[in-house]
Amino acid sequence: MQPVSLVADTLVVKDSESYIIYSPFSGKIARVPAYPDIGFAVYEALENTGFFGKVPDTTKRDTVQTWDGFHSLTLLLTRRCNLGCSYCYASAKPTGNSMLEELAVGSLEWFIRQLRNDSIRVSFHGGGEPTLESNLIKTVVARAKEICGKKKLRFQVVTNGTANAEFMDWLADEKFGISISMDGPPDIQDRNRPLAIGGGSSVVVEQTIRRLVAQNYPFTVRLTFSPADDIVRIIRYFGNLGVRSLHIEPLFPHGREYEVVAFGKRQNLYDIYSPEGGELLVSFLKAIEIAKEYGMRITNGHLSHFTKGVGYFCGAASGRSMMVTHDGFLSGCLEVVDAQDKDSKIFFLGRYLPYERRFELNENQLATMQNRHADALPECKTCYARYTCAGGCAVKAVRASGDFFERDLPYCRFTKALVPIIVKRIAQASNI
Amino acid sequence: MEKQNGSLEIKVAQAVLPDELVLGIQGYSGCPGDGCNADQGGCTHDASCGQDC
Repeated sequence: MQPVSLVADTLVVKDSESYIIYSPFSGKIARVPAYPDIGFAVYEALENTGFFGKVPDTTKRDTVQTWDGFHSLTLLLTRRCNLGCSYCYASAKPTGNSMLEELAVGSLEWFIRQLRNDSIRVSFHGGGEPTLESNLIKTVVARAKEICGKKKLRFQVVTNGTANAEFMDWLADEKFGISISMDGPPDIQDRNRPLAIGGGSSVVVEQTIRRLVAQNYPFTVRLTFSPADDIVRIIRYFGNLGVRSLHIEPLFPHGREYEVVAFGKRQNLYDIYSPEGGELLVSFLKAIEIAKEYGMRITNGHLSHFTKGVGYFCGAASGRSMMVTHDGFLSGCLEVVDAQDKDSKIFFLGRYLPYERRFELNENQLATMQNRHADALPECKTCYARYTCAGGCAVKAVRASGDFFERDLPYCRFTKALVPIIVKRIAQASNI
Repeated sequence: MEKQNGSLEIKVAQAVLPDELVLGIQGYSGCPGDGCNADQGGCTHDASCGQDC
């Protein structure tokens, strides 16, 4: 028997001579002496306690007919970047093009016109460094305030942390959600994420982090990890800086320096490399232990869905989050950032029509994306972790295999191994 | 909480999540900051912003 299985969408983990039963959707946990087969005494006893939760709506599968529009907007403002990160998925350059103001504002206005709820959520993200277009960000925010009516506004930025103090303070004043990409102590940061003009970026990014910490402003550091580095040292560095929220992701070997999509250590091939699932697990568990000492909270793209349950891994690759590239396309992925990307045919699902100030949506593309669902993917639909990772990141699968309906395999192995460990930790914390 | 069910002794409790792990982003309906893209599924890039959700 596998170390973990599902009964009625509830996780069953063998633990010594008993079983831990955890229902993420009811928030209940139990320890039972025998496997809770449906129809048998243990199952019925659990059912009588109201143990089994209803699968949440967040796992529902969309169709073009039931699609209720985009729920959030992300603007990929520029292909320009002041860093030259070795693993950059977008191969951004100091001379890249940026989005025109007309497109940025037109995207916002169209998004709000089609929005069916009361929450306007706008993110500014990469393909380049969004804060290099700080005036454009301010323009979009100002326009959103003008036209939001009674709807609530919420902004977010994912940045390399090199913006000046004045702009960072403005982001804080506007209550932006802020995610700063940084990889660790100066030697690691400067090797992985050097300035495009040469030299390290650690000094300026560290200053940004210290400033936010001093203001007691909540933010997350997003860490790209290679097992070439010591995760304990990295976590202690961030802990001592005062970081209290860390988003850890493995390095994905799809960037400008990676001609081969390969996982695990390849001797003499690259200085830093993408971990296999098992390697990542070992490092992640170490990270959790060290983070505890600092009162730091850790997550990653898979764990963050664990108790909520999702049918789609990604909002963009399911047509729920609207992402606009600097050159006016609707992209189903943050990493497919312009029409030059060879996978744009797979991920683009529409384009901006400037004379009509609206987007044209390709419904066939939308339908394809809606089919990459946890209940539909052949390798996922019976998996116990299906509503945790829902197949994982589509672009990672495409870059590695060419198949939109494949899984992100290294991350799949990591998640499957991590789930029973997490359930045991929950049991321990719950004193069960 | 502990419950007895017939002859079966089954311990049932409300699950306590480890503080050091963010195991669930509640989505915009439950987020004091009104959420982010994470509630739409999230991503390896933007699933967290540091706000307490």
